[in-house]
Amino acid sequence: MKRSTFERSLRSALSPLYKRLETRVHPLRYLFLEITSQCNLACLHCGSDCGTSKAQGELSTEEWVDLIESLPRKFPEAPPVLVITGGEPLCHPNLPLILDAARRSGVRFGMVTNGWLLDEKRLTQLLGLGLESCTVSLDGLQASHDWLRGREGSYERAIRGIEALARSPIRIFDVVTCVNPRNLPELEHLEKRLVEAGVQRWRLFSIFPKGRARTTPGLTLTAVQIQELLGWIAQRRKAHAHTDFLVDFCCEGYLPRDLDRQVRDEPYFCRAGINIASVLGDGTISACPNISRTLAQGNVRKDDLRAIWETRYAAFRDRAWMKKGPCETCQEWKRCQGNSLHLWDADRGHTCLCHFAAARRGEDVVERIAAQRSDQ
Amino acid sequence: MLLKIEKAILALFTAVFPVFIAACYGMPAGDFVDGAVKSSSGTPIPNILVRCLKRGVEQDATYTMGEDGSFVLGPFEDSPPCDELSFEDVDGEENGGSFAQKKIPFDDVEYLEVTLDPAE
Repeated sequence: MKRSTFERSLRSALSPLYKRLETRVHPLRYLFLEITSQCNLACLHCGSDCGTSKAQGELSTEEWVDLIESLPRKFPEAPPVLVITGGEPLCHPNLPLILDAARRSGVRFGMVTNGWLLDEKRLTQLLGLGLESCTVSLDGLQASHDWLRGREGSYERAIRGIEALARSPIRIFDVVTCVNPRNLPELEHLEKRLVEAGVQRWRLFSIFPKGRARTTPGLTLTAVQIQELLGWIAQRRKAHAHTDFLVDFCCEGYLPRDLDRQVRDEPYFCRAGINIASVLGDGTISACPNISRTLAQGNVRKDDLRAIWETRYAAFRDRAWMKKGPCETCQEWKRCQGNSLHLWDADRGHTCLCHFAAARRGEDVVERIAAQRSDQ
Repeated sequence: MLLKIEKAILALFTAVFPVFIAACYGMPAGDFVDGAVKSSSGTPIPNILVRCLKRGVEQDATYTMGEDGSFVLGPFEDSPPCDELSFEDVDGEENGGSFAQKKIPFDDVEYLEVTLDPAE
């Protein structure tokens, strides 16, 4: 469902009121379950620092099943949609048991995968278990994707999974691409390949300097490249205004309002802790999985998820504490509120990226302020 | 009391402007309405315009497709996503006959099966 220009403008104008209400009421709509940290790829930009074996202290299959089965009781008004993620969720040996618990409990779910293990047979099994939505990562053409994903053949496997999804009766799926300096010039060719594969939704992210991406050089876009990426998305959205192919910039990053309307359907709104929670592999309760561990709210092994959702998360719902570093004197603070929460850099004590300055002026305001401070 | 009022306003807001979430590295999520359209003799009908309406305002529209006359509307964030569904034959005889328009109240069933009568 594409939104018209009028609808996007209206939503944008009403979004401050909507955000205030949504923050006050904070219905939990979307729950990430990081069912394993095990992964079959070795991505250079991994935000969770996953490995080939599962981490110590991960929740057991029984613990995941118990948690999922409890959700209709804990959230009787409407249980949140589950986002089954990892690591690579298809590496979990008991994934069917976990998904079956969701199906039996009437809890809707989707999955995020790198596609390596997603063939027709596996997809048929997942659909039989009630999978209604799926996201596959594809980070460029073959050489770029395999380089970033750290395993030869991962592009072919991802494409196989994507094509299987396009042929299947799944209700919705999309492809996400983490844009970096290497694949930025390939986006046009990648778009053609996705259209050929039968994809209808494509979400683009820029890699942010956290996790492994913080220590691996050459992965993050410069401010000027972010500007270029956003301009390209706006142009492709215009070109596809009357096709069934939707190109979207991801939910990350506060942007100038006019540009925000041009690159995404939903106005910017960081819903972490407002509509979104997560249960990480070791049971930690947080919001989006990439958010700093310093913002953990509890653990499902000892805390009740509903009670935590209702009584904690104060730091997510009132972000005045984030007005630091480049945000301290920023005119956009009231609307931006410190940019997306997963960009909070706990070591530096402020956001690690300002999309607004990058988009408007091609300026890396975070680095400029850091440089000024070190000069003083 | 204030929270109750805010909840009511929010419910109204999301009814008029359904929200679609695809957060961080999560998958797209929303509600869907799916089903199939057949003739009174049980033959699936392709190319029927299916519209999902809330207080008369179109929330989404699609056409029935394939050999089974199936359709999927959505994704929608709010539930129920609409109060009425409209089925309209827009291509006359081309899809195996001319069928009368039908409007039905939305019923939150898992899979909707709709039968269209021939046009008079």
